[in-house]
Amino acid sequence: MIRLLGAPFAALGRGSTTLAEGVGRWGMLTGQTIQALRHVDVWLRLLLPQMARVGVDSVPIALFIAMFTGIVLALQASYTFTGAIPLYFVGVLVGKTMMLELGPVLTGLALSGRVGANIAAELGTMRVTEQIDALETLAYPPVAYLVVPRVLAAIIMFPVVTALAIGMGIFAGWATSIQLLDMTSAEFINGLTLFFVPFDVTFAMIKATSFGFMVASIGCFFGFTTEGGAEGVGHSTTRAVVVSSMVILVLDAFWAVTLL
Amino acid sequence: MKRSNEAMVGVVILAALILVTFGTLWLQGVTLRADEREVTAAFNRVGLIKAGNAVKLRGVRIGRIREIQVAPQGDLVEVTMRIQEDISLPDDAVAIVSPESLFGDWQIEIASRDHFPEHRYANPREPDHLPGYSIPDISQLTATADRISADIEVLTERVGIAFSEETARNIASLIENVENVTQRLSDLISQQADAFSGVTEEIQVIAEEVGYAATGARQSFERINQTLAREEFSQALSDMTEVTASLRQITREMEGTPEDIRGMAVKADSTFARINSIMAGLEAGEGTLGRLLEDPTMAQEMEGTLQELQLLLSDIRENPRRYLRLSIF
Repeated sequence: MIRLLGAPFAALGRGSTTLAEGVGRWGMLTGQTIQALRHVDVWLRLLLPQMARVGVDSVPIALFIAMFTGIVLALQASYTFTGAIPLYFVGVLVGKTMMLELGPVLTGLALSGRVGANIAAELGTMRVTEQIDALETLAYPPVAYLVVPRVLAAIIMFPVVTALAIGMGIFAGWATSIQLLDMTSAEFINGLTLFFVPFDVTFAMIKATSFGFMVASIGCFFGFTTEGGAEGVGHSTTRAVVVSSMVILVLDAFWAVTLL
Repeated sequence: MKRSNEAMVGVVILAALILVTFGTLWLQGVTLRADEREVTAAFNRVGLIKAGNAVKLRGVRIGRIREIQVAPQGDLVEVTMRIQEDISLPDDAVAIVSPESLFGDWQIEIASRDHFPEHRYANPREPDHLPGYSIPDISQLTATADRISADIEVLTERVGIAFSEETARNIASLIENVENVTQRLSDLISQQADAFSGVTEEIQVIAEEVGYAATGARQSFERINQTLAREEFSQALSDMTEVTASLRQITREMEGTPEDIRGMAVKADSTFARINSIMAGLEAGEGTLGRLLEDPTMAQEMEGTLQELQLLLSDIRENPRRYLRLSIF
């Protein structure tokens, strides 16, 4: 009876311990990553290919998501505002929403599924096939070789992809407004510029940078900690996507609370 | 492959940089043209404006707000604006901070002071700075409304204290009296309206008569005009001219007459003097006539004498032989 009653508490304790252990191990990996930055000769030549994989290859999916987000935003804004608020507020809503929220978050979520899963699967496979162990045996710093280029590439390319996604979303909102809504281009641009402040762009870039760091570092962490063969790789990949998505949303709220 | 990666990464990063840089500048309203100039305005307060807001002249956007800062003395807010170089501002230009719409966006409108003389503008320290005024924002209006509502609450409370049952009865009585007075006034107005309509009718009749008189006068004037136009009138005028000439001749002839008249007057004057003298003597009882007038006894005697004389004459007439003896021989 006592065991039965204590089971939930035991589960809570195990979960907390696991979470704390995971955070601690992720912190240790992050510390090692920062230390590994000194091996510039190792990670620098790998940075560009990683930037291409993380950023350039992610541009199409990011633009696709942003385009339809912009279209839907414009249509829903006009549906909401009709008869009560001037339609040029469609421009306000599309611009502000894309810059402050949906551009960085949707891009981050999309890239967490694509980049985070890719990194976790790749490094997890290397872990279970003992390629990482081989690197360590060869005195090749695995963190500098595998983690640093990916994390740096994500930190650099997430804001780039996010900026392009924001531009695409606003463009799609503008095109929707003048084609499908009873609006002129001047009205949309008037709304777009009405409440614009440069900090909106800064805010989006800060969020995108933090999302990039978290997605890449979490993907690397779960890849590095993969155990148990192919099943473990799949498990790590799934966990990497889920955790990085949750972290993106938590960070989103964190930045909103601290910066706005 | 590696070169391809480099190119693609470079293109994507460059595209993002261009998008962010130029997009931000464009959304801020920054133009890369150099033909802009800076204008500074001083305000006591600036409402809800912020850098990048529109600067308008006659409702047309001519620039944007570049910087907002409190003056070192802390008593003014200096707003620096960038406006188009080729735009001339009014000589007595002022800057007015106002809402651009009902949804929270603000602007600075540059206008002539004559258009808005009622505002209390800030006095800038620099002569080239524009005086500024900020229209109260919604928070100030709300604060004012709050004070008004507090005053109304106090007033209501006092009215509640002052408004007793007796006051209510008095007011009801007053209302009833006012109602009676109103009814009387209404009746009076109705009566006066009847009288007024009678007066109006009389005035109408008078006006008609005046009209008839005017018609008659017009006809008379026409006749006079016709008469004046006739030859007989001209003849009469010439006759009157002749008569006038004759009168003038007579007058000239009579010019010597006054001297004769003057002589006659002198004589008459002496005559009247003598008559006065005689009359004075009579009044003084001088002479027979004077005594006669003055002494009634004499008049009585004369009257008796006359009666006796009449008796004598009668007797003579009846008996002439008693007194007259005619003998021829």
